Amino acid sequence: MELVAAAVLAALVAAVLFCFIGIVPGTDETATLAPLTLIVVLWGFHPAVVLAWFMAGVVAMQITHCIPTAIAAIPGSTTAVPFIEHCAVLKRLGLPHVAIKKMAAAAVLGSAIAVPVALAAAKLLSPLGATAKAWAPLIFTIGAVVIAYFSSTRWVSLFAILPFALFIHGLQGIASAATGQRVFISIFLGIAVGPMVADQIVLLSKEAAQPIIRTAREEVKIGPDIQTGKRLFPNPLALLTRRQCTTIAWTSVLASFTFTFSPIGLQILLGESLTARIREVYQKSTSAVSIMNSLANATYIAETLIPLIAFGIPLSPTSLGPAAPLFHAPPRFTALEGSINNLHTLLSYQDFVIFSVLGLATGILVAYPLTMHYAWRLCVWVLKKVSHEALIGTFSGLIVVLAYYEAGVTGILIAMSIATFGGMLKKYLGVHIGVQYMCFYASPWIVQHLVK
Amino acid sequence: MPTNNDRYWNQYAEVWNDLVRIRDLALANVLGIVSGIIFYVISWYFLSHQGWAAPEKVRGYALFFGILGCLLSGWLSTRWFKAKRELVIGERSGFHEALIQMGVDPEKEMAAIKASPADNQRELGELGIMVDCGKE
Repeated sequence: MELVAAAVLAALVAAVLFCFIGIVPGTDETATLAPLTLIVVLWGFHPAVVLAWFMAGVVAMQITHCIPTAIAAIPGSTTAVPFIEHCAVLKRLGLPHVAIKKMAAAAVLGSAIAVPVALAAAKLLSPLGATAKAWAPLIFTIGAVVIAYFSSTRWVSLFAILPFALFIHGLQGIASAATGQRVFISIFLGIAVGPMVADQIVLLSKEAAQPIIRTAREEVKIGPDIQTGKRLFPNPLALLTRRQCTTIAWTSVLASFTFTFSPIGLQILLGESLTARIREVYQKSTSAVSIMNSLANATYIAETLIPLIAFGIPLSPTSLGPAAPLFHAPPRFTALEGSINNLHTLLSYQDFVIFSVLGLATGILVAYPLTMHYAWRLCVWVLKKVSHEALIGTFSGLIVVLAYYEAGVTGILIAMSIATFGGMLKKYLGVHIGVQYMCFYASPWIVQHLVK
Repeated sequence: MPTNNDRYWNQYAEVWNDLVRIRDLALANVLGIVSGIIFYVISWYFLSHQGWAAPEKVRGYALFFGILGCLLSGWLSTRWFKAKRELVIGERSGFHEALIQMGVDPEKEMAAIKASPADNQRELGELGIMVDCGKE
């Protein structure tokens, strides 16, 4: 009972915190969820509490990220980028409040469907767990090649695998020489904040900075506050059309069976293709934003729960990025160095069911009514009061403190090196963060078998 | 007289998908990193040398204080460096006018709405758009 109370408390804190982070424009899921979850893991909370925290954070962030996306047409997070165009259309039509309600309702519906399906899928796949564990290093290498091949920058991503893996291995050598052990947090977080760091490094060169210099402040146009509905927790099904509900239902189920796909890729693929034939503007845009946001939630849930329950090793883009601290966070959790000791081994199937549902329910109970009733006021407050500089400064501090916690000054230098190299690869060559993570996990196998 | 260098540091730039002033960004970064590390190191020193915490828990507590330092820096930064977004709160645009601006023929749109599922039409009706769209 104490554990349940602790989990609810942690989920409440996560829900409030990530509601706020979701509203702040541009905050990436990996760069925010991963370090903050890592902190909760390193502080020694019970694995069930950590799971509830993560689930509440995911769903809260992916409900409130709709708010700036709909009201100001600026993405609240990375998974909000695919539906920005459709949100802009609804905003021009004077209907941002409809977009918010549809997306929030879709998020609730998508999560409610994804949880039982993902739990069942994980149970079905768990017999394959032992095989997957035995072949994990090779699977990561193949995964790096597959993700690179299917990314939009196919050839350069494939080309980058070897140099990037070697670079990481070299940094691990430096870490071993300096501290006597390999590092994880410093490299992992370095990759996560790479794009943010690369943008800032570019500012150190006046010539290179020209494309991102802005001579004037751009206006962010937002419509007036439109209040509709009085119910605290409106029925999500009543906010969507029958066709939207059925599409969300089957795409959320599908997300469990495509758990190795990129969430954003799936959002674009299904969201655009399933609405391509709708001619009417309102129905097309509301359907697209609903489907895409339900998928944002469903993919994150499925991609976290399935690898965690069935395999114990990170085998999906979400588990490689935002959810990675649930798999590997030395010294507490390990998944990459032969033995597995993480939520997979520490929680029973029943625990997974109880605490993931608990986390999601708490996240929804906080974020959904908040979004339904205070979206406009919250959005205006955040856009006016929270400066982007403060946000970047805080996250820079968090990354440096965590790297220092792991390996002292060496940790900071390693995080900085990897953020510089990885960030430039992403910024100038479009090498996706998922490819970089796979390279990181595959680097021991690559060096041992291909380079030696 | 501001030098070229001053002018550069006072410019705006788009970093991580939003607008910042270069000088403010640099200062916020320094503040975040320095306060995080100072809080971590000082708390670690007192916890371990004064024996305020069990040796195996010192790093965990120091991490807590380091994070506290970062959050404090974030709070100070929001006070010192104001948000650069220029908010313009406008009027709600009409559905009909917006369609024309987007190059969509309102009549064709009306026909498409009438051919759409009943619950979609009901939604548009409740929003008052069926009337708005049908007007000349």
